[in-house]
Amino acid sequence: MEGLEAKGIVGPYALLGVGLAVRPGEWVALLGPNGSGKSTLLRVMAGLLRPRAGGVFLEGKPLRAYGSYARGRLLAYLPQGGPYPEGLLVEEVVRLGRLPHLGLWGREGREDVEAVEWALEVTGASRFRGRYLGSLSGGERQRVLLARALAARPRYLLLDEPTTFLDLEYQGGLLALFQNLVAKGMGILSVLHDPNQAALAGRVAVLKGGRLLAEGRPEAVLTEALLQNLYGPGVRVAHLMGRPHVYLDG
Amino acid sequence: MTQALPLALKRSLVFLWLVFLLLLALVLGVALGAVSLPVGEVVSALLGLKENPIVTEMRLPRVLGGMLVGAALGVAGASFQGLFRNPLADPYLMGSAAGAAFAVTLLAAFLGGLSPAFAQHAVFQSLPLSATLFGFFGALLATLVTLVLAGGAARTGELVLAGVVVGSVLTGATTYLMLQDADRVRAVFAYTLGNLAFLGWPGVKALLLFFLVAFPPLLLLGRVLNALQLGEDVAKSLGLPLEGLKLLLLLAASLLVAAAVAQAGIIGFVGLITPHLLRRFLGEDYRLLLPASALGGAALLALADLLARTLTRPAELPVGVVTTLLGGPFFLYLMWRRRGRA
Repeated sequence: MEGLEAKGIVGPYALLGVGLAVRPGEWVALLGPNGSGKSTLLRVMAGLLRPRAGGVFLEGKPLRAYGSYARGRLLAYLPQGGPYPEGLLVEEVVRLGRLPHLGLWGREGREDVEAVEWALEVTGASRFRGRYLGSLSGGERQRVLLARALAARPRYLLLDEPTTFLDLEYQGGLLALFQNLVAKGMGILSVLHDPNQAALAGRVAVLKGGRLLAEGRPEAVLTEALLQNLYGPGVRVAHLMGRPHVYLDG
Repeated sequence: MTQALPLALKRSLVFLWLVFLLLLALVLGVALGAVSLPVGEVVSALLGLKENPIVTEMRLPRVLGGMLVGAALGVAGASFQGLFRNPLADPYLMGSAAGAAFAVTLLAAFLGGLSPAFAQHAVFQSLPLSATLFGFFGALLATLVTLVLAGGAARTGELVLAGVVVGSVLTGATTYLMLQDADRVRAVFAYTLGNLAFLGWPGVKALLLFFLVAFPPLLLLGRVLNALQLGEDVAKSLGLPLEGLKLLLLLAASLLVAAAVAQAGIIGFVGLITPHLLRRFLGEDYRLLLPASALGGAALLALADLLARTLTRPAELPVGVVTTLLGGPFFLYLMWRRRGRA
């Protein structure tokens, strides 16, 4: 079975038995209130946390059966916030994304250079490739870190709140980029806190209190009843051009 | 690409400048001292054209040994800072230098009494290898205790505090061992304060050996140190076998600290200041920062020793006093600047 699939994940932290799958060519948005276990589930599926029960499967094989470099070539993970190397050049940061292909001492070949160029290009980060990461704004930095994740040319991309720090223009650009990557066969799982961004995904999974509350196409899942359950009674949903739009009733 | 060339040029110039500084420190270090030698004589003796026992038997081992100690401390400092992702991590501040000093003193105390060993520096002359290996375990243990007390390396305040506590306790224990023979306290004290006066050719050879063992792996792991700056989760997700690599980095850096301490006692702040100064010019690419810290640490300590030997001529200061007097205020400046940014 193709895809990255978590089955019956219990623990660590809040997760109380969650199953979730991402298929190639599909963008899944993971939605839920703070503390619902979204980031934890993402880290479990990236192979960074070991669940107490349940397992993660990549293309039908247990994730743990993959070597760490092989896993790194197939899955790229971008955490939310976290440390970043202020004193590295943007280009060097993105080149670190090739480590799963190079190992510790491999020399960069043509393929590596091309992947880095591509990642810089699609994220719009090539303009500041020669600058230190620490000299960029939060939004520019976020695009560089995304380019780092893309540089591995992974089959699956796991992103934790990738739109944080981005202004509206680049949020739009990023979401368009996701749709583009998905069209080329990449599988994307992104934790998002904004239901309106999640509405752009192919599928939405909603987590609350460590359990999967709902899953399916955005227009089916993002109902007023569900969102009020998640975020309180002030949430309203309108439909524009066939898509749900979420707003707060002031 | 238009920006890449000037940057590469700028970086090459930094390395050229470091090499120049190192050669300058070598010539001046050999020429100046209780008796000054003319530069021409120094250069011809260094090139082997003319024999000069003051140069070859006394000053050269001290200058070269001092450079190796400085290089070891500079590289260890840069490695600790990269490994713990903390710009204030340093062999001196993290207690690992004090751990090495305690272990070396313990070894000296057990080997047929403390005082004769220190009086003639016999331990360091005849057993430099075992002294370093013993110091290695001391450095490692002290670093681990510091990390446990600080609950990891993420919080600078806790790390520095834990390092100071571990360092103080170990320094107290070292002093206690040394005070067992009060007559020799002066000589012993000069060692703990950080002193290059004990260096002879055997010490230089030991330093060179350990440097050649520990430096290449660190240099080869420069890319890993770079990746670690993205956080451990990301470094792991890139496929790096992080647990083993971190241990290797810690072992290699501790070996450098131990080699330096076994030969020269505790010399503070070289490991902190050297990478800091170089970051301003080279950024934080550890593939550049590590070799630059080796050159820079070597030059810095050789120049500091020059001050130590000439400031109170014909008497000498322990070089550790000079580095601490200059490094302490610099450290405060760094803390102050970080607070300003936070």
